Amino acid sequence: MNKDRLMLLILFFEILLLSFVNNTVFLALYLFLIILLFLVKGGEVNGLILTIKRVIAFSFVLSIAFYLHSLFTGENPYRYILLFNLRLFDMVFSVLFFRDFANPVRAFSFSKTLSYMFTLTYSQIQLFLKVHSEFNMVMRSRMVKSGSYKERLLFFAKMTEYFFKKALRRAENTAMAMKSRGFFLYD
Amino acid sequence: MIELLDIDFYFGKTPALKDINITIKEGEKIVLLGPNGSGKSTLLKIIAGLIFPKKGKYLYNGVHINARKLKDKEFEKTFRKSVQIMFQEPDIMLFNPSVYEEIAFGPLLFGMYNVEERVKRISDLLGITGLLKRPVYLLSGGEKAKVALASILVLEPALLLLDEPTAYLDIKSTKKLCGIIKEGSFTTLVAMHDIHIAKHFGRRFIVISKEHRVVFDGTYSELLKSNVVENYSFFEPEEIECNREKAYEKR
Amino acid sequence: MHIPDGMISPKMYIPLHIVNAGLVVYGFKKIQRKIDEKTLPYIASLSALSFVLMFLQVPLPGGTSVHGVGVAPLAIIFGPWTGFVSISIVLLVQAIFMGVGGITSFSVNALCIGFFGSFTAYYTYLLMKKITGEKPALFIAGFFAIIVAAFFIALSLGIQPVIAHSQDGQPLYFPFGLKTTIPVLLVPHIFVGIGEGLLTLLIYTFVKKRLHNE
Repeated sequence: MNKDRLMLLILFFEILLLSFVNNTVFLALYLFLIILLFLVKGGEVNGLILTIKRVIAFSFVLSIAFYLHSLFTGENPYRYILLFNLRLFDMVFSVLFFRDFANPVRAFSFSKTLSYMFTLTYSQIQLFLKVHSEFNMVMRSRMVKSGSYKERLLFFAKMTEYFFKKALRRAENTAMAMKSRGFFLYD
Repeated sequence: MIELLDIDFYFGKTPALKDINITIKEGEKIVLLGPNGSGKSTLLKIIAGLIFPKKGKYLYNGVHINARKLKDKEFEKTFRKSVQIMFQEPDIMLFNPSVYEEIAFGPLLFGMYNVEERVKRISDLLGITGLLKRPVYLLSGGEKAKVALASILVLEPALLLLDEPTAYLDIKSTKKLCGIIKEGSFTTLVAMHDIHIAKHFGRRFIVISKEHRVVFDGTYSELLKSNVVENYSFFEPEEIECNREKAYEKR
Repeated sequence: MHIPDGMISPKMYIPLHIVNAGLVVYGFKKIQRKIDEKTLPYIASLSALSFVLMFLQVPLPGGTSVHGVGVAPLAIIFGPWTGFVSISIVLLVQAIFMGVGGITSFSVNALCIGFFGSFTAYYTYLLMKKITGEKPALFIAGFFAIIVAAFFIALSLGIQPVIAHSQDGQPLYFPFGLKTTIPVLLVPHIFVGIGEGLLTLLIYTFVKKRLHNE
């Protein structure tokens, strides 16, 4: 077994363990350790921030909702809020750790076609992330104040259309390149 | 080796190539010049047997290459192995988990022996030995270009088609690449738009105009003397000088 | 719409992971023959589009935000199994590379959005095409794919407090029951469904034209 698949197995085991444990002290300790390990090994901080931003939105909404809910039922909300947040971030950090220190494509290369589909999808996604950040910069540099609701919707639509056409052209070229490199010759 | 006879190509109704007639002998080093959008990439894709002309004939070693001929898997196998193309955007060519696997993909597929040694040799040559274990999708643009180049050079193709290969390369790697092309026994066809770099990449120069026709075919010194240089000012052989264009009136 | 990590109890996700893995392997074998130089670009870019739609949170008036999925065009053009496998890959890529979605919730997401979404879209389209003609059928298929997916997501979340809670009755995973999850998820997804319906119509027409041109 290669190193990446071993790390994938470890990740699954970690996640399984975390999903069974309901002890907040253990979860907090785990979070502390994995963040420490992540930083010591020199993980990519930018990607970390991007992910945390997305997770926090969810965690925030659910925490508030549960707090409001507890006002009606009269139970103490803090234990649950602490529990689910710790577990959520524990798992997110475990995944990020795996992503930064293993090669996920190799770990999932159970079948050749599958690993190619994986790589292709991922490279398209990377392209999009670039387009997305560039579009955002354009938006910021060309619009003085943040646009109205309608303008923002239009912006989304334009970006999606642009991306889809670009992705399609790129994918057509990729298929050509794969053909030229003999990919479709042997099944 | 290659005969292109009266080739026309259209994307839908937009013309991309018109009346192309070119003959290429084995071992020739050719540079394909032309402005953006003149149809250089399209021509390379036709020669690589990836798209097929709407009119005209393309013969490779005397064999008429068309969709039907390439349905013959045995023929396609030999054809694909001997003709290798590097795309303008190198990262679209890469689809393997690691650099090593990327370079070894072709040799393994076509059943070449000593794969490991070949990969090592070519990556030493291009200075990417240190990258072999890395995942391809984390590389920079220039590194990806080198990996793409390595993965086609490793097959030792008879015909090498390069579409703007220097766009992502630094000067050092560009020099290396033109050395490889000069020394190699393969036939090369390199598409470029910058004449200063292009002059190092071959002896024979073919110019495609923005009307998608071949307007020049000859050596570098002939090219400098010909009216092509004047008519198509993008071939200015001296240092370029910016035009004095006014976009705004003074306020 | 898809569920992050830590919300689904192991009682539920372990069996579902097994079911989902089986379905993906079966589906993958089924579609492998369909993947060739002609379809691969479209499958790859539609999958990527699906990722984009999931990534772009469209703000709704009132403070919540939702996102589309793009599962219907994949399912209708290339068949429901292709839709399911592609969406599974997208969700997996998201969970592993981006840390979005989740590993424990992967199978629930893949089954609700990928499996039920794809099959709903595909069969709704086949059925409605005979009744209403092609264009309305595409819209309706996209709409129902989202509604059905959202319903199953709501169902999976809503039963968590029932199947998993501590001895004193406190929730351990997702805290709210069906009475909350169904309206909270379904109402905004009516809007998403409309968007998805229109998108399905647009993309289907665009891709079909390109596929026929070659």
